[in-house]
Amino acid sequence: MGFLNNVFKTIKGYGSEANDAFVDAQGIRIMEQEIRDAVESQSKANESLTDVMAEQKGIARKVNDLKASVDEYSAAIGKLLDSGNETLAMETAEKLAELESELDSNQAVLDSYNEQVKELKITIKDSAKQIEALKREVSIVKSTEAAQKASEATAAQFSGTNSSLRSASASMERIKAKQQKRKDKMKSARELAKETNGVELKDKLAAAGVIGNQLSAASILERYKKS
Amino acid sequence: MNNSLDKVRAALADYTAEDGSHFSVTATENEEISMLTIIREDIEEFAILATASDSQLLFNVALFDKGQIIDGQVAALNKMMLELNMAMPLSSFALTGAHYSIFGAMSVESDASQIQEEILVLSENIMDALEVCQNFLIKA
Repeated sequence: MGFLNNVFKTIKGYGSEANDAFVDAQGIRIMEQEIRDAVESQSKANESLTDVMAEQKGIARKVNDLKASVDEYSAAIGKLLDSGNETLAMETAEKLAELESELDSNQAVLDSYNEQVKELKITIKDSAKQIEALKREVSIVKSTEAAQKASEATAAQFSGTNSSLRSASASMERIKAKQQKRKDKMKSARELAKETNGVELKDKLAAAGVIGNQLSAASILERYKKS
Repeated sequence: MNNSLDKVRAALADYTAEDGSHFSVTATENEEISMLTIIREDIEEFAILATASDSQLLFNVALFDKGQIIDGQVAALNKMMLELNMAMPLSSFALTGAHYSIFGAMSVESDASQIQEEILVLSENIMDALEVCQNFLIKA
């Protein structure tokens, strides 16, 4: 089964719960278990790969040796026939037949090892993808949670209430209003700049709230007292 | 702090986008999680959370939870998000547990200018994404 299918099975296992907070906590537990399982199956596959590759190497060497012998005997038969040594040629041919059948069976074994190595490598790669995907999923849930806790703490500081149910549409309206206000300020600053200049401009900008009022010594002192 | 996240922090340290936006970055590091909270000054309510795995940097912005969707509108909202995913530059919609978000993912090999572009574009997508989802959400 492909790695996305596995990841989906994990996510589907907890995603349907009604309680969101429960979903997160439960989800992290399930995913972390899945990650451990995937790591384990990956390390098992790695071990198998090492074993299979060692055997594959041995068989490959044997196949190469057999191929060299087959070539050697084939050449010999040709030479023997050329020199008219029919009896020895026959004997050599019998040996060659043995060697060829041994080569065939060893080649078949080698082919199956090659196939197994390919499959194990795919399994290992799929496990790695699955582990990465689940880790990403966990980090998103955890970071979202951490950020929510931080913003809840900030909100509670100011309002004294737990405002965990931050409404996206309300936030958006606030941001839009803020951005519009800034645009308006900049626009009025431009307009004022066209009409006036110098000291007068500064006063008008201050009056429009674009820049702050001139600081008084008292306000500066106040600032130091607070900190 | 994770090396890749350090790279992100460095990339944003003295960065001001062409439109004048800049980003404040706060690092959180504990046994649970290693992350950066990236905030664009004029959209402070929607933080970009940066995390890193071995191969990827992930920038995620939580938009809203399932509970904020108008009854019976979940399927229509999901479909719209899938349909708009390719239209949204560099970012995609996602659902993780109960949280709907937009996110961008990139290789940990990415350089500073690529990271800056990714984050700027993601921040620009926040308000557009919220706007298009608005009709499916409970009004405050």
